[in-house]
Amino acid sequence: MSAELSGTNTILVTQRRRVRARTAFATPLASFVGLSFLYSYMLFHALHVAQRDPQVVKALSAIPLFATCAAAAITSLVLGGISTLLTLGDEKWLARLPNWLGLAILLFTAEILLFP
Amino acid sequence: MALRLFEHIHGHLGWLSTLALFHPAILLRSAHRRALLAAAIATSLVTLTGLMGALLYPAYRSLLKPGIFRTSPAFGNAFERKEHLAMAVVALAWVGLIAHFAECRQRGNATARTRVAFVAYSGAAVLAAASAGLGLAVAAFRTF
Repeated sequence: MSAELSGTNTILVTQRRRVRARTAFATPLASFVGLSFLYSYMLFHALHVAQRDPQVVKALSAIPLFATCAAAAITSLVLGGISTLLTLGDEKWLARLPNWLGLAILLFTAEILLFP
Repeated sequence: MALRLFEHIHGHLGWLSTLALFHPAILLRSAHRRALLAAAIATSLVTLTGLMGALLYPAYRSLLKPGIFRTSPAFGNAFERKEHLAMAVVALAWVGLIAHFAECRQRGNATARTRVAFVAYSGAAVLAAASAGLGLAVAAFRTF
């Protein structure tokens, strides 16, 4: 009986560890993807305002708003993934993420307000 | 008529989503607070509103945009600002939800990263309020 309970406990602990390991990178990944999305959107929007949209972006959609969003989403997934892998387990970098996200939100808002 | 009804639903959902986003933003001021349900509902509402907006945008672009820019470029630009801010709102809401979900799973490992969800939801809520306000102003000026 106690052997069965001990076995069940071991399975539960292992499952919990697996879930934790899987979610350990979720916060940095979400943050880096979010950060990259805001910065890439700012870049593609600036290029659109300057009427210098890259051909690749134009090919994504005939509507510039959707093209900018799609290009920013693709770029952010790639950059976010790379950044997460490069900084995985480095608490010093991760501790700065909330401040970086706050700064990105401020810069994004400023650009959109100044250059709609 | 159908477009007008769709636009009204989109507008009302937009304000509801804005209020819903303030809920997790306020709850997550405390690093140890769990607000998964509030976060999930707010993110779902924002995503639904964003999808409706994306469906409406081509019609707005062809039917309303030229007229608005001809009569009042300020309102035209206000609408463009609203659209860009809304894109950021949807992205930030998802960042907040994923970060908070991961935090809830990682209980006991509280570090500065637990603030990510709070920052994301606060930013999303403020930008959503600005976006909804601009949308309301333009809708009062010209509608389908």
